[in-house]
Order: sequence, then C-alpha cells, then structure tokens
Amino acid sequence: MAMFFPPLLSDLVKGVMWPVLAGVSAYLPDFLDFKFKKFLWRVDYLVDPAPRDPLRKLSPRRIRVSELSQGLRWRLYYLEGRVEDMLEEREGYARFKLADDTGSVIVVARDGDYEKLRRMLGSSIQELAASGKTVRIPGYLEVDENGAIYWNVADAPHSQYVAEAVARAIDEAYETGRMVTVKIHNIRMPGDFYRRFLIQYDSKNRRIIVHMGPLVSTGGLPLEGTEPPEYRRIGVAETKHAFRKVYVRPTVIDAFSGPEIGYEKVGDVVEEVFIPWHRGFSHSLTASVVIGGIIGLATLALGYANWFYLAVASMLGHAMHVLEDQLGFMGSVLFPPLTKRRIPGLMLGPSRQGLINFATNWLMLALAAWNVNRFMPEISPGMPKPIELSNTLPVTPAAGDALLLLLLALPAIAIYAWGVLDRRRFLIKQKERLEEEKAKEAVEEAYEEVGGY
Amino acid sequence: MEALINPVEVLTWGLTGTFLGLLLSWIPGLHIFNLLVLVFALAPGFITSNIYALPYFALGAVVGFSFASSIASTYLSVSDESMMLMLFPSQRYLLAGRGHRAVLLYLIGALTGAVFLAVFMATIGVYAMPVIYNLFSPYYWFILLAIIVFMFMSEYPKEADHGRTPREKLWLAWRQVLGGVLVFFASGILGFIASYSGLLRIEAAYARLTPLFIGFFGFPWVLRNLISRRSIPRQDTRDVVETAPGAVVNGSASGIIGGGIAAFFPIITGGMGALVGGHMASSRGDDTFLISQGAARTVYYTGALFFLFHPTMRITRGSVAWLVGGVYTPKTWAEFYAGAAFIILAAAVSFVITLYLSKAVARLLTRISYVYISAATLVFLISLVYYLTGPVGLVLMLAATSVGFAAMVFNTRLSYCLGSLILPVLANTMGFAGFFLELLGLGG
Repeated sequence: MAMFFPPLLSDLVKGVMWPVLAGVSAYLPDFLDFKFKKFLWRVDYLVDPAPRDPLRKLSPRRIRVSELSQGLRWRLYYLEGRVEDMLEEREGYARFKLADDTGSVIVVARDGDYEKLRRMLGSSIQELAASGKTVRIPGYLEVDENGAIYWNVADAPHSQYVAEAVARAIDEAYETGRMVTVKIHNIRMPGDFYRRFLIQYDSKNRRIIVHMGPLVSTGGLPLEGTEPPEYRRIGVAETKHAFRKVYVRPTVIDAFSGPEIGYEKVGDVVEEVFIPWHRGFSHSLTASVVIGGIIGLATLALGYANWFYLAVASMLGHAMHVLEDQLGFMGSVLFPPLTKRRIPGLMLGPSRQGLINFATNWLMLALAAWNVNRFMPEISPGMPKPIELSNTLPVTPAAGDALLLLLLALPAIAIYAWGVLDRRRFLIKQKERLEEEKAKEAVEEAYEEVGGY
Repeated sequence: MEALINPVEVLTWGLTGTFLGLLLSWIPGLHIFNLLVLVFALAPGFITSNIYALPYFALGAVVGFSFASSIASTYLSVSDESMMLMLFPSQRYLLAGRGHRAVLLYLIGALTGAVFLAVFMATIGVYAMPVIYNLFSPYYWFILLAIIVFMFMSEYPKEADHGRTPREKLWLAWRQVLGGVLVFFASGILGFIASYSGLLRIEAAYARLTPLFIGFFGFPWVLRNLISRRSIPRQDTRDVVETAPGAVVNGSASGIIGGGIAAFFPIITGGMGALVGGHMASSRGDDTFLISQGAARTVYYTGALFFLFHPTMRITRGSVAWLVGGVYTPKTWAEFYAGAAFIILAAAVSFVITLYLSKAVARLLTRISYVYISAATLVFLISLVYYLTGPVGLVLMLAATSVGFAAMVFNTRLSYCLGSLILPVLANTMGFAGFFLELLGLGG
C-alpha cells in the first residue's frame, strides 16, 4: 500500500525504511493472533486423545499398570511388560495377562488389532509368555460390561473420548451461558505421520460423531492399511441441548496442531466458534484505523516528514489483510464495538482456497508494479515510465495507465471470477446433500412407522 | 557476422559441465561455486580454450548441481544454505526408509522448474524481465528488509501448544521466536568478522563465507548424526512417489515463485525465496515442500546464471555469474536461445542420472554404517574449509557450528543463519555498518 504514495516511494528509493511499517501493519493481525492471543486464550477442556512422550514428542507415551484408572479411558498409551499368562487365543482374538514392575492387567486384542499385534510382536503370544521377553503393547484402557478394566490393543485412541468431551463442552456452554473452549490436540505418530480424525455435528439428532481415520502425512495423504478396525472407528455422544455448526468446513484434525473450538450459547442453541481467539478485534477495520493512528502519531513524534502518508498506507495495509481474509469462509468481526460476532466470509473458491490467496498476492504485486511504473517520472526525474501503453496504442496516458492496471490484474480477476462460480457449485452441492439427507430420514421414519428397523 | 558458437560446441561444453556437476555435486558441502573455482584454478587452459563456450559449461554444471545436490541433503544431511528449509522433511523421509522418494519428489520439482525457466525466459521473459528489472531495481533493499521482517513475523511456534499454562505456552512460543532473533544477530556478527576483520587471507576472500555456511548448515547435522549414532533403515528404491497432482502444481508454483524472487533480487537466497513462495501459493505438506524446494533451487541457481545470457537485461546475479561474466558475457539472442534449449536438455539428463545416483547411495547406506559416512563427511568438510581458508576458517566454522546448533536447540529456522550475509549488507545500505564495526572492535 505504501506504493500508492509517491512521497513514501521516494523515501524507499533514498533508503529511508519507515514505509516498511506499512508492510508490518499488513501482517500484524495474524502476528497478534498467532503469537499472543492463541496462547493467552483460556481453555476449559484439554482433549488429548494420545498424550505424547515428553522426550520424543511423539505419541503414544508409556503408562504403567499402577497408573491405569477409568479417567484415562479410550486414550492411547503403551504398556511395557511381560506376558504372564495366556488366557484365551482363537482366530482374530486373544486375551492375556501383561505385567510390569507395578502390577498386571488383562490385555485383549481383537479383529484387525489381533493381526497387527501378531505382526508387531513377530512371534506367537504363547511363545512370548514362555520366553519372558519384555514387549510394548499400544492401546487404551477399556471397561467391560461388568465394570472391570482391561487393556484394549490399538494403534489409535477410541473416538468416543473426543466425542464425549465435545458433547460435555456443548452442554456446559448452554447451562452456564458462557463460552466454553475445547483444545483438541492432534495425534503425532512416529515417522511424522498423524492420525486423522473428524468431528461431525449431527445437530438434528443432537449427536457428536467422531470418526477415527488413517495415518496421514503432513501433506494429508493417507497411509494405506492404517485405518482402525470397524469396532473402534466411530464414537458417538449425545448432548442434552441443541447446537449448530456455523463454520462450513468439516472439523478435521491431523497434521500441524489441533484446533481450539469455542461453544457459545446464542438464543436457544449452542454455536460452534472455530478457533475463537482468531479473527476478532485484530482482524477488524476498526483496528485498521487504530493501527494507522498509532503509526502516524509515533512517526510524527519521531520526526518523520511523511508520517501522514505512512499512517494512511499502514491503515490500508492492515485493512487489505482484513478484506483478503473476508474472501474465505470464516469471516471476521469487522466493526467492533458496533459488531460483536464474526461476519461470515464470501466463501470464494471453496474447493481451492490456496488459489484465492494466490490471486490476492498477485493483485498486490500487480498494484505495486502499476504504482511504481506510473510514479517513475515523479520519483526519478528524467526517467520515462518503463511501460507506457499510450506510446503503442491510440489512448491517452491516463487511459494507458488504467489499461495497464487491468492487464496486470487480469489473472487475479480471472481467479476471483472462477472463485465465484466455484462458490455457487459448492452451495448447490451442499443444498443437494441436505435434501438427500432429508429424503433418507423420511424413508427411515416411514420404515419405523410400519415396524421396520 | 560469424557465429560465436555452434550447436556442437554448446552441446559438448554444456554436457561436460553437466556431467562434472552431477559427478561432484552430491559430495556434501561442495557448492557449485567452489567446484567452478577449483576448475578455474586447476585447469585455466581448459577454461580459456573457448571462452564463448564457457557460459554453457557453467550452465550445465549449475543445472547438474541443482539436481544432484539433493542426494547430499537427503542422505547425508549436509548442503548449502539454500537447502536449509529442506533438511527436516527429507530427514523424515530418510528415517522412514523413503529417502529415494524424497529425492524423486525433489527431482519432479527441479525438472518442472527447469522447463518453466527455459520456456518463460525464451518467451514472456524476453520482454518482461527487462521491464521488471527497471521497475523494481530502485527498491531492492526495501524488498529485502520486508522479507526479513516477514521471516520473523511468520515464524510458527511449534511446541507452544503443549505448555500447561498460558504463560508457559507464551514462553515456549516466544523462546522460539527470540531464539531466531538471537541466531540472526549472532550469525550477522560472524558475517561482519568474516568480511571485515582481515582474519582470512586475501586469497581466500572469495570463499570467506564458506566456513560459516558449512558451520551453520552442514556441521551441526553431521555432528548430531555422530553423537546420536544414527542408523538408517533399509531404503525403498522403487521409483514411486505418494503425492497428488495438486501437490505437484502447488509445490512447483511456490518453488518457481520463490526461486524466481531469489534469482532476481540480490542477497535473497533460494531458501528465503522458497519461504515467500510457499506462503504465496499456500503450500502445505512434506511432498509439496520437497517439490517446491526442487523447483526453487533450480530456478534460483540456473535462473541467476541465465540472466547473464539475456542480451538486453544486463544483470549479473549470483557468484557463478560473476565468475563466468569475468571471462565472457553472452551478447546475442542466438546465444540466449541456445542456452534456454540447453537448460531443458541438461535438466533431462540430470533427472535420469540423479535418479540412479540416489538408488546407488541408498543401497550403499544399507551396507556402510551411517556413522562412518558421517565421520567421512566430517573429515571432508574440515579438509575443504582448511584448504580454502586455512586455520582461521576452521575457527570461524566452529563458531558458526555453535550458532547452527543454537538454531536447532531453539527449534527455530536455520534460515536465520543467513544473517551472516544479510546483516552486513543491510547495515551498509542503511548506514549502520560503522556502528557494528565499532561495536566489534573492527574499526569503522
């Protein structure tokens, strides 16, 4: 934005670096949110489905038998000990006793987990029991129908843990009337693979459904054969109160870091606020004015002659960030204190949001090139404009400049236009999906009426 | 007018350069500039026997280096500074037995970058590059400063999430950011010492930053391999990659943008360019990242040298271009287009040969202890630094190693070590060089 003001351009050519502050302002909203607010935000529920080993920073971490308690149910750890007693083994199922130096526990392996365990151990469980060798068994604590605990062999936590935590937060948000924030840690496994899981909000039936998926790379590519077996793939928890998902994107947790999700009572319903510390005041046009004011006053106090231009450029730089973010899904609180909630984004190009970011970057570069070109004679007297369309086309210099801007911005305009069409397609598809679901539910209700399932 | 060069000479000299680059560039720590300096020093007769063909020799060597240096960075964890962003993902691939796949992903990016560079420069670039140069050349330092500020502001705190209290989280996040600032200034001070102290003998001036870069980017990794007695799992050498077409497009785009920025603007290196390019194209994931690194490095190294061939742009970017330009600078469009076509040929040859080199190294690693290889690398790096810069260079390298280790300890970007290059230049431009020199007792 500094490029719009010849005095600032002139300073840059002379090596005066104050105009860099306009660029700093443009990045400031994310800097404030991701470097400060994210860490200072109050978290009510910490959901860590697979705590990491403190040294290796990878999941799972070791747990001793004496530490096992029902509070740790469904969370992924590993036990290290000797197989003491083989209690039962048949096709796709094994039950045995594992002991470490603090006690012993019953271990159960079933379905795909039984096969994986056999492959992992490299010998039969009987042989292990006879050899007295120490083995590592990943899994989670489970409770049987009699209330007795056992160790369920698994390579992922049970989704039920996450589902229940989210349902609890929703109910608490409704009952207390305040925002309840849940921090969900992701699951980082050896080899830098991440266990992917998805939170589905079934508002109609007041159910939180969590799907445990395969291991994925940091690029999101699934690793074949790592899907959990059917019996522990889905976790379902019911809420007492109604809720709705506002952020259109599905809540998928895999690589990098897990999200914070806020739940807030709005009227009679609890609404999801995705990463509630983000896109607040820092991402508002009100903040743009404040930042411009602060930079203007500070540079005035420091004796910078072009403080006013810099203030306006900084304000515009900040505002451009806010407006660029508004092209996506989440939106921002644009005019605090007049508005208090996020105004949803324009949702341009939902299938390829990176392309929209690229278009905006391109547009900014195009504006920079355009400004530098048109102000060249003013900044460097005697130097002609590097691009002067009026020399080759029958147009006035002003029209030539306007045409140049259009040409430079054309790729960005084309991508934005595609983004609008993509948005339309996305909304149509979403509407169709909703109608399909409604039709399916109607059929199910009809079956129930006639005594079906 | 008689043609200065014919196609046979372009091919002969160019391919000789390519093979030399491929043959030697997989050796850890050997930058293409050092390689060419060695050639200049050891065979001056060869260099001057056909000065018109020399640029093609250098172009071939640079393309070969852009491709084959992925072997060292993937399997031996050592490379020059422009590779710094790549170390972690390629390490992960290597430890998962997929080192060859990391190389293959890199090569896909490198080939895409080379083809794009040649086609773009021979078409749109003919008209656009001189205009872009005229537009942005007055603002180089502003853009450099903006990229540095962006580097710091965009640092992603990796461990803060697992702090127990807000204060601990904030500390973990800022420890990383402040660690980056510390590394930047510490390496900047080393840059001042290497450039202005007169500690290095005058004949070694061309390689004054070599001990620093080996210390920052190569030594810590080799030492870490030795200390942890790291062993490498059996490597899968099938020519298979797991990626999506979108990742190839995204990675190539971000690499081309980043490499283009680095090639065009002085001081900005491939690593810094890749950081900006990655942000612009919203790239995400290891596979995208490796592809982008291949594209960025190829566009950066080859593009910087290829600017020398552009008859109307007249800019010299990068150490290799300065070296070659000192002997002969191509002047005609025929030389320019021959260069563009040769880049594609050299890239294709380099792609195939690097692929087989990667397989050979992957197999070798399963037979020879990685600790021995790391020890041999260590001896090689020490010898190289000693040969180029003498005992003072070794002292500088050790100091730089401690800074490189600090970056690892703070879990921050190794790219901040580029402070050694950036801080002196920036301080000079902004008029602060005297202050730093006085502070360091180096006069003023």
